[in-house]
Parts: sequence; structure tokens; C-alpha cells
Amino acid sequence: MKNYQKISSRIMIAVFVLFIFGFAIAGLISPDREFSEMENRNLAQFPKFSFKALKSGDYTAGIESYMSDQVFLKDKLVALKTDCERAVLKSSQNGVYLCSDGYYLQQYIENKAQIDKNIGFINDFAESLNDVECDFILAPNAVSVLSNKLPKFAVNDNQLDSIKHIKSTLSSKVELFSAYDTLKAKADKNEQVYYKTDHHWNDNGAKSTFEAYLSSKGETPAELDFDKTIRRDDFYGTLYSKAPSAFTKPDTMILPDHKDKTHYVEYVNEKKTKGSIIDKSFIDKKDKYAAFLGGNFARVNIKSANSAEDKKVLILKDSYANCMIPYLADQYSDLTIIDMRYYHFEEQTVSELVKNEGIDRVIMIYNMDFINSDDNFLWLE
Amino acid sequence: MLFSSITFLFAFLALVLLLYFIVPRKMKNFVLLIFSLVFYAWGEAVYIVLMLAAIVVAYITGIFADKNRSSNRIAFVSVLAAVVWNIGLLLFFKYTDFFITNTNSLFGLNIKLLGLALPIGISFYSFQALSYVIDVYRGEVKSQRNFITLATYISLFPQLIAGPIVRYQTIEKQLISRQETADKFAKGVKRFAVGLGKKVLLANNIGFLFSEISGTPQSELSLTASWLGILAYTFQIYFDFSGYSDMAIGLGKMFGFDFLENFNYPYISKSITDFWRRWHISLSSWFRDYVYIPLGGNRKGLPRQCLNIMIVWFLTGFWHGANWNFMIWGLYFGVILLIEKIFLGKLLDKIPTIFKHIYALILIVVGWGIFAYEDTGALINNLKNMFYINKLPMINDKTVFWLTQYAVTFVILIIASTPLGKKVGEKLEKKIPTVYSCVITPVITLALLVVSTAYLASNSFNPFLYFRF
Repeated sequence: MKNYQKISSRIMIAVFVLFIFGFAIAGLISPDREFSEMENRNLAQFPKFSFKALKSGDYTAGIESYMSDQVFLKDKLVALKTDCERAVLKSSQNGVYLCSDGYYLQQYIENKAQIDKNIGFINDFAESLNDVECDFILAPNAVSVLSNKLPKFAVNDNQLDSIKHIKSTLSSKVELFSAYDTLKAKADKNEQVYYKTDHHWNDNGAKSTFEAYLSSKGETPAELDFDKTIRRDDFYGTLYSKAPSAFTKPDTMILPDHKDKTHYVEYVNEKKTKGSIIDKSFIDKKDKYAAFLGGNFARVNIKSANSAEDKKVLILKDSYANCMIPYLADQYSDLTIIDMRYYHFEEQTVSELVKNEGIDRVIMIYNMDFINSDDNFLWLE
Repeated sequence: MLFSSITFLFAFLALVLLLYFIVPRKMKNFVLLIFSLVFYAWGEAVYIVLMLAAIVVAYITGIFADKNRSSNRIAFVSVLAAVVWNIGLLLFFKYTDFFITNTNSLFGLNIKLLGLALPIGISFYSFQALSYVIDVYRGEVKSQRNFITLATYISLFPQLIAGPIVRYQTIEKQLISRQETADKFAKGVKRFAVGLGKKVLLANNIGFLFSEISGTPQSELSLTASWLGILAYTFQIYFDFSGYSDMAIGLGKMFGFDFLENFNYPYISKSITDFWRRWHISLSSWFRDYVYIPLGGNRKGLPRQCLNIMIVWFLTGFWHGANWNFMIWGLYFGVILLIEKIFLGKLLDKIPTIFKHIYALILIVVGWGIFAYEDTGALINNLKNMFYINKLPMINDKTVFWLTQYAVTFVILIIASTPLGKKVGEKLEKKIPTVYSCVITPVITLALLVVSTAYLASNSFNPFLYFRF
């Protein structure tokens, strides 16, 4: 055998041994992670041994999940995968389109049956309100407002059609305010209204929509009572986690920061109160959007001293509403905020709550994707 | 356990390599045996009993099938017992529910299904065990008196769950005395990396397109999409299965074994006869040696040969799974092989090569169209889609999107199906031997391993096609 062949064999063996034992030993040495911020879930831990688990196959399956969840450099490896996929020109990953200007846009496929069901529940609820005003702020998703950034031939349903459909089936008791035109006009002026790497709209999108809503109602927006704004330039959102990549630039997140004690925020089920809408403990974590209101809760009450209008408003919402809350709180003196995903089996139904607590106006704030997919509206009954 | 899993790579393989190379020669087979049994028991611990039984049966019947040691009669009874045991278990676990379902629908009965999980690799190791006993009976090899050696052969984890079907006579000597060398190990590493890449990077990726297209409602399909889907499956099954064989051969080399090749670029075939010399070679040669030739092969006149061919291809199809589509698939190839044998083969010899390739490829792809759908209704519907009987639109937006998403992938798949890469490698090795073997090969190998790990770590789509067979 020639000399170079001997050397080559040794290099190959070294490469393989380094690869296999490198990962094996690094996996053993590096501490196991409880939680992955990137994936926003608890990671599998090493399973407990029992003969029962062994017999059923749960034990070995547990080891497999443990090994793949705790693999060394997991987040980096996942990013490497996305980048390999991009290298072969795949612009769609896990239902997310990788678009121009660094936007991640989520695919929208209309589910008419679910929409009709949800609108049906909303209509029934509105009928039960008698004379209380009921408005519905409907936010289109970035995939529709920023459709010009999508890769060519991307497959999506048109959210404008879904919005039109909702308009035609919605009870006359509900006043629909579609945010599409407002957001589209801003986007056309090159203003950023959605996060690039997250499925939410940003502070600007929420604020512009709320101002447009107010002017459609003939109300004047409150003088904003901000101390300052917090700005972070290192935000990687939820869509990024679906297709992490070494080449994606981080997003900017802006949070309006009121003086402490401007608001009195009460988390009803948690029996907690706070003096601020923004929960700063999330700002240094990956899930920065949870800084708005501290995440999603069944019921939150906010009372404000310096609000523009003395009104009791019930907000029925998804997480899109969270970054609108600072503006809502400056506008209305008394907010009751309910997230139907968590408001199950409560003492009073939402309709009862409207009556019992003397609500002046109901504002529903939902994004199109949510109406298209969520099935918690039945809890309105 | 799958080779294409984090657990296999960084726990199982690391441990088995470590132990294998530190124990003395005498213990090496024992280490392989223990790890093979763990590997086998990993998914379905109870079925380890079947594996142990297969070993014991092969061991005993092998000894008694040895004609030199006992009477012909005992030898015959032994080999018969081995056949009944292996084929019987295979039939029981793999085909009982199929027979019950069909009996029920034929006679309007309501016999309960067994609902048994298929023991992993039973189709492979029962064929291996059987080949050993039959070869002993035929006097082609001596029976193996060392229980550990025989048990290692039958349970050897590299080829245990998806082949190749390694015949005892091809590794008899290696089982007893083999040499693990640096050169062989390096070759094994390279082969394993290629196989892992084929499975994880190519097969899984394109398999995703197939499952997306086959899961798309009829109203959203197009003619192009139906062909795109089946082309995706064509590549998926080849890279899945041959990737697995490559990994098996590579692992074998690391432990000093030389297994025979199982694939030889089947998609560059010039006829279906050619295709079956290149596809799953260990299975076709098994059926040739243990079914076709014993039935008389081509020695008893043309009509008998035709019958033999049809029997073999029916069985080949049925071996792939307990479903009608696999039988139809086998018979489909049986008929084409007969036609080629009787007259088409001579005709094909006269036409330009490119047409031979096109002819063979179309028949192969249509064959996968039969193979891919276990549900007969879906199978027929898909064929109707492919042949414009359902009058689908030529193309639609969704199809264009798939085409744009997978264009580069398809180019890679096509190139990887040909010997082009191998030829380029050979040329480079001649021209710049040192750079090629000391830099290029290790870099590509490492890249394949790391990128495959990245895909596995992404928990992405990792189904395994050849599990059910």
C-alpha cells in the first residue's frame, strides 16, 4: 500500500473517532437542559428505569427522546439544517416562508369550517349583549399585508377573502374594524408593522391600528403618558425558532414603558397585582414578546388613573392584543381582559360578566390566523 | 433502533466500537452478539425471544442437516423443520392479518385480527437463517458447531433490520477469523457516511415531498404533480434502502467483514432484466438460488421457465409486504421480465441506448406507482391521475411551487443516482492522489456526518421505509 493511503486511512479514522466520541463525550459532560428557550418547550430528561417501562418500550423510547433533545450543540445544528435547506433554494420550512428583507411569513390556508364556527359563537355572544356596544378589531397577518415579500409561487389563501367572508356572516350587532388598510398603508410607506421573525405585529402595527380604530369611532387618542420606550435589538421571534439560521438578523422590539404605578394590573386567577403592564423580566429572555402583560392569562383587570375616557371596556383577545394593551389602558379607565384559551369553567360566563360588571363596551381583538384555527370560542357561551 | 438516529450514533455505536476494539480476539464475536441482541430488543423487547429461537433452531437443524454426519433422512427432516419454522413464523407474523381480512371480506365473516406488531427484520434474518441450513444440507458449507459464532451471524446488527441478506457461505471464514485493518475501517467510515447522507439528507427530504403530494386532496392535484409525487417516491425508496445497505456494508467493514453489494446504480438500467440485476441484489439472488433453481430454473423447457419466473416474482412481491399491491408489483415485473426474455430483449438490443434507459425508467417509475400505495383504491386513483384518465389539469400553482422548492434537490438526486460521483472520485484519485485521499475525502465524509446529524437533531421527518418488510 502506498504511503498516502496509509495516512489517508488514519485521517479518516481520526475524523470518525472524533465525530462519534466527540459528540458522545460532550453529551455526557455538558449539563442537561431543562428547558429550551429556542423551542419554547421542556426538553426530555433521562428516563427512570423500571421493568414495566422496559417491557412496554417506553424506556428505550425515552432514551431516544433524551438523546435527541439533549444532543450537544442542538440549536446550532438546527440552524445548520435550515441553512442547508436554504442552500438548495428551499424557501419554505415548517410552514414558514423565508422572504425578502429577512421576513419570516407564516403560511395561511383558510379553514372555512373553523371560521364559520367561531363567527357563529361570536354572533351568539353578541346577541346576548343586548345594548352593549361590541366591536371587533380584526388583524390580518403579515403574510397578507406583506404578500409582496413572499417567494414566487408561494401557496397561500387570500386573507382578504376570509375577512370579506367574516364581514358577510357577522351579526349586525358586531362592528367590524379590519386593520388591513391601515397596516397596508404603513407598510407601503416602508414602515415596519410586523416583526420580521415573529408571528405578531409590532408596537407600531398595534398602535396605528388602535389610532385608526379610535378615529373610526370618533374618539380622540389619549396623550400618551410614557416615561420612555424600551428598545431591544436582539429579538428572535417564534417563527425564527421554526427555521433558525445563522444568517438571520435579529429584530428590533420597542416597548412603551409607563412610569411605575400609572396602572394597577390585577391577575385575577393568579391573585397577583402589579404596577406595570410591561413585565421587564422577559426582556432579557428569548420570549421577549411575553413582556407585554407578562404573557397570556385567563383574566386581567387594569385600572388607570390618567386615562382619556372614563369607560369600562371588556377586551376579548388573543396574543396580538397584548402589545396594544398599553394604548388601551391609556385610553380607557377600566379594562377587563379575557383570553378565551384560558377562561374555562369560570364563575361567570363572559355574557354574565358583561351584565354583572356593568361593561360599557366589548372590544374583540383577534388576528386572522387565530380565527382560522382556534377552537376556544365555544367558551363564550 | 435506527442507524439514522442520535442514539445509535453517539451511544450505541460509540460503545460497541469501544468495547469491540479493547476486548481480546476471542471475545470479539461475543461483544458483537450482545450488542446485536440489545439492538434487536431496543424497539420491541419481547421479540428477542423470536430472535433467540431463530438462532437455536438454526443451530440444531444446521448440525442435523449436515449429511456427512447423519443419515439423509435426518438431514432432510432437519432442513424441512428449518423451512417450516422460519417460513411459518414469517407467515404468522407478517401475513395472518392479511389472510384474515381477505377471508372476512370474501365470506362475509368477522374473524378478529391479531393486530401483532411485525418483529423488526424478521423478513431478513429468517431468510439468512434459512440460507445457512439449506447450504449445509446441500453440502456447500459445514455446519457451525460454535453457538456464539452462529448466533453472531444470524443477529449481526449491521444488516439485521434492512439487509443486505448476507449468506452464511459468503462470510463463513470471516466469522471465525477476520482482520480489522485501518484501511478497511477507513473504507467503512466513508461508506457509512455516504449511506447516512443518502438516508437522512436525500431520502427523508424527498420523502417529504411524496407524502405532501400523496396527502393533497384530489381537487388540488395536477398531472405534473402526480408524476412528481411518484418520482419523489422513486428517489426516496432508492436512497432510503441503498443508504441503509451502504451503512450496513460500512459498519461491517469497521468490524472486519466484507458483505456483498446490494445495489449497483439501478436507475441507469437499460432494461428491466438489467434493473433486477442491480436492485436489492441479495434478495433476487436468494430467490434465484433457493426458489428458481430448485424449481428447475431454465432447465425444463420454456413453459416451465415462464412459470418459474412468475412464481419467483410473485413471491418477491409478496415478501415486500402483506398487501395486494406488493403482489401486483411483483407480478408486473414478472410479466415484463417474461416479455423481455421472449422477444423484447432482442428488440431492445437494436435501439439506441438512450431509448433503452427511457424504456426501463418509465417501467420502473410506474412500478413504484404500484408499490407506493397499499390501499388499492388510492393505488388505482393514482394510476388514473398519472395516465390522464382522471383528466387532471396539466399543472397548477401548487405544483409550480413544489417544482421550484425541489428543483435543486431533484438535480442532486439525479446526479447521485448515477456513477458520476464515483467516476469523478476515481479520476481525482489518479490525478491528485494525496490531496484527494488525505483532504477531499475526509472533508466530505466529515461534512456528510455533521450535516446528517444536524438534520437528525432537527427532529425532522425521519420515517423509515424498509421497516415493514
